[in-house]
Amino acid sequence: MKDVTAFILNNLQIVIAVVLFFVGWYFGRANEHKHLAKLDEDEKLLAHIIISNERFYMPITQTDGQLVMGSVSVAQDRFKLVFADFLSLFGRNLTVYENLLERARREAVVRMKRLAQSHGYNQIYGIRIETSSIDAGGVEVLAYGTAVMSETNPKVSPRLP
Amino acid sequence: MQLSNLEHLPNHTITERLDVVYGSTVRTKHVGKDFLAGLKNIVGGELVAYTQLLEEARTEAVERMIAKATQLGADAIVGVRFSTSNVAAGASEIFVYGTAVKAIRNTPNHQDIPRYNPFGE
Repeated sequence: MKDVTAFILNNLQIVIAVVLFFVGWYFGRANEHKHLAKLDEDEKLLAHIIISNERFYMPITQTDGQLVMGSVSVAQDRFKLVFADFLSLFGRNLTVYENLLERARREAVVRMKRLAQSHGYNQIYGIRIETSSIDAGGVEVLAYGTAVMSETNPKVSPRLP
Repeated sequence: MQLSNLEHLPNHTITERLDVVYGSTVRTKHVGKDFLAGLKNIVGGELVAYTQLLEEARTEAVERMIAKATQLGADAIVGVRFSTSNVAAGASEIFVYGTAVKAIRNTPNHQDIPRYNPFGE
């Protein structure tokens, strides 16, 4: 017992790093699962809003449009940060970052759609998605586009909870 | 003031192009919030403080741009673009720009207005 305590105290930095690594692995995984489940739900809820990134296409509308934005910053967890360093030794796909970026983009688009929905629009076009990195190790994604009330959108909005 | 990130404005006809207008803000994070964000970095997930900060900064940049367009007597800003860049450690610049234009609202019996088609015909 005394030996174990002495070992921990002597290698405190390493022990903390290892503990954070596993804490990051466990909670990071839980967070990601929760986020993905919520994204699936939100996307289903907002599926009636047509989005496209064509700038020159003009939906038929009798009402004014509005610029809508959605942005989110997501942090990478400790496990994935360390794992990314390990992966970059081999110069392969950084799958852990691919997942993070996909989550952030989907969330930004969902937020943009939700804003459009709350203003009573059913179509967004001319979409731009922009990404920037955060110092601490994460990404910020901004999605923006022009929302209009389109008369040709055949999709009916589902009942909101 | 109407904003659009397209080359036109829905339900409007652009009559006059005035000038390119822009607005920008440079922001840093609050020290305490930065520390909390550092903790969040262990477990991952959304950085709510950062999201809010960047949203506020973006709103401010847009307001500055709108102020300039108002000075020019514009009705709307089209072709709006956002860009973000890191200018110093822990600080980021939000830059937004667009073209200030004069526009008139289409009337219901004015459906067949000539629409600009960049591909010809």
